[in-house]
Amino acid sequence: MSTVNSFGSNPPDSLPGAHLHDQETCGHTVQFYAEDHSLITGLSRLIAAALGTGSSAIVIATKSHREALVLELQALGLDTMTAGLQGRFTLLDAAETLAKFTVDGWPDAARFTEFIGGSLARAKAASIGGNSGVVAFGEMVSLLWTRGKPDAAIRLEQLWNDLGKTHDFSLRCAYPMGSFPREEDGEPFLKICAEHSGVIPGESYTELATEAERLRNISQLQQKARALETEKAQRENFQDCLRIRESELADILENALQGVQQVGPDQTILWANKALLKLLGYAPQDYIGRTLGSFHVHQHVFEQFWAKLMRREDIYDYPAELRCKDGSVKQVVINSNGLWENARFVHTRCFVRDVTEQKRLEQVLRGAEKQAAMGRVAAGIAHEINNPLETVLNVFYLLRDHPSLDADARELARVANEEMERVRHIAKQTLAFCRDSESPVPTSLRLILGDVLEAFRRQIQTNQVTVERNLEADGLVVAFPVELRQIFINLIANALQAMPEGGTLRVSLRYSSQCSGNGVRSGMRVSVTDTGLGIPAKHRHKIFEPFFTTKAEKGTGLGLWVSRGIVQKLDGTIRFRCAKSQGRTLTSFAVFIPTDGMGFAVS
Amino acid sequence: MAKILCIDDESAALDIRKRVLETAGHQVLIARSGDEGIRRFQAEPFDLVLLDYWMPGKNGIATARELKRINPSVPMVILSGLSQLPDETMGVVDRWILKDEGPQFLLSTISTLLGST
Repeated sequence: MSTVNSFGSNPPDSLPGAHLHDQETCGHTVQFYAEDHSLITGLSRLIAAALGTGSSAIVIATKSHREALVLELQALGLDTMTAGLQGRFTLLDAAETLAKFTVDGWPDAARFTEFIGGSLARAKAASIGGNSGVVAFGEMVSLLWTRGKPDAAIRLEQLWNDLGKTHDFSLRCAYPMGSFPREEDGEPFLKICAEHSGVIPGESYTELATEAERLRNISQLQQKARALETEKAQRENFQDCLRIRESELADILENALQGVQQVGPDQTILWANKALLKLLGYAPQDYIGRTLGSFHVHQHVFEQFWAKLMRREDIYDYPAELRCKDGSVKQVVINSNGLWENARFVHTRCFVRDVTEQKRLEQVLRGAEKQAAMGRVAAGIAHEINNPLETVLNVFYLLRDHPSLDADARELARVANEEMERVRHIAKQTLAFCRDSESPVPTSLRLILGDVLEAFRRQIQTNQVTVERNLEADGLVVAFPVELRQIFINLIANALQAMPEGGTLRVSLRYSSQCSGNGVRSGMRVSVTDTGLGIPAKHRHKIFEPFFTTKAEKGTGLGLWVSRGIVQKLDGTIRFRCAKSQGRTLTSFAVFIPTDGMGFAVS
Repeated sequence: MAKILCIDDESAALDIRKRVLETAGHQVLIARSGDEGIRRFQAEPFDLVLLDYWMPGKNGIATARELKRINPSVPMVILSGLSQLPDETMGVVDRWILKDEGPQFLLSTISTLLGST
């Protein structure tokens, strides 16, 4: 690139910063500016100097810059119209010119050389005088930069440099300083500077009048740079702290033991933490993105909840039921409020606590309280009934063989006694459901079975029944002793009644386990087996029904029904089976009473 | 047959119970309160004592406890209309029988106890 010496005539010294704007009127310089006014002032002096000495000028700029430049030149007394007609002053639009030689946004060397080279040659030819040349100003590079194409801008700078090797002109480029606001702009900024033979700093520097002022300015800029570096380091440190804190908060929410979720204004679940997904059994993709209402069992409950949120209420312990993936239902309480920005609802802050087990226990407790109350009532009734009952039974017992009665009266007394026996039995069975103690206690099944067998000793002897006991364990269970006694009285009484002509009664007690829906449960198993008449197949499906009996007037039909009710209250099972073995009919009832979670070790 | 002391505050029930026991051949003496029963027990020997649980003043257990102190070898049977008695009952008496068990059960229990002494 040749030097256009004739461009070097200095502008008036009175203009601030003139020495810097004009010290490099040759080569390929770049000017950085903050205000358009500063650019236009410097540029007008450059162009005025060129045109004033017979050189030509080509200005490739934006429309506003071109218009401002022409006004400024005219204000300096230059006849831009004539210069234009002479071909010495050419104004080109930066964007239109750029479009002529770029392909897919990238400057094409051949097209650039052809178009710009041609323009320079024509300008050169129009210049007047032996030392005259061409001065060019271009801000196409700035345009590329602001379009986010720094590489293309640098490439264009290089094409200008290449063109300088074959054409005689000097060139000034200009970039607004505002184009380089970020730290990462530093490197391409230096690359741009490196493509130029001279750099003109922004007007805050160039407009200073003396060397001393400029040195002060540099010192101040160095101080500012240092302060910025320090601030930047502090900010990075602060950002690191923020990132750590953010990560900790995210961890608290994500790994909290309570369910947390965010729900958007359209009721879509935006996010849910692990605890909530685990509680309901959903994978994230099955839950997040769906509407919250679809997981609520009761729509009206959800709608009321949502209406409260939309009224900006803080919601505490709102009870709801949520549907789990496996179809089960969890009872929960929800604490929630909304994040609002101005009048816009952004999302909920929703905390969900599982209270399924708590509700179940409350229900059990209510049931237990009810049972305890019933028990107290039953105890009173039992006492009031049993006292006169004993006397009446005793009276009939005495009347049975009373010598003052004739045969007819004795028969009537016998019938009355039998009916009274039925009353006694029904009262006993019915009241077995109710207890007069407050709570179940650890009870030995072995002792209970021993007592019951002892109570039946007379009947066992009368029926000539052989008893085989296999009570291998204490069989501690938590229960009401009177209820356990009732179960085995019923089973053993049935067994003895099934063996009027003798047989074998086998009673065993052993540790056992049982599979259930919730896994394997451990507990105690009592088996009562007889070798009696058996249960006809046609009756087997009915034996646990109330008032079903095969004993005609001798039975109440309540024994097995009551026994099963008591076993079920203990969360146990009662089963029976009939089998033929060595010509005998074996009827066996097996009672399983779980000992899991009874709060003591069964040994 | 045995000599039995029968204690109950309800006269009608006590008299009928006495006659039931007598049908089994027992000699029965009665007392209408715990204190009266204790006096009789101190005065003469008995083979067995049958007490009602629910009595004004000294109840059946309190009475039985004193009787056992006087002579621990005599079997004591408590009769009760309640299906559950205090835990201490079995530590004091030899058997407790529900009143709804009927006379045969009562006689059978007494027979068992007398047979084992």
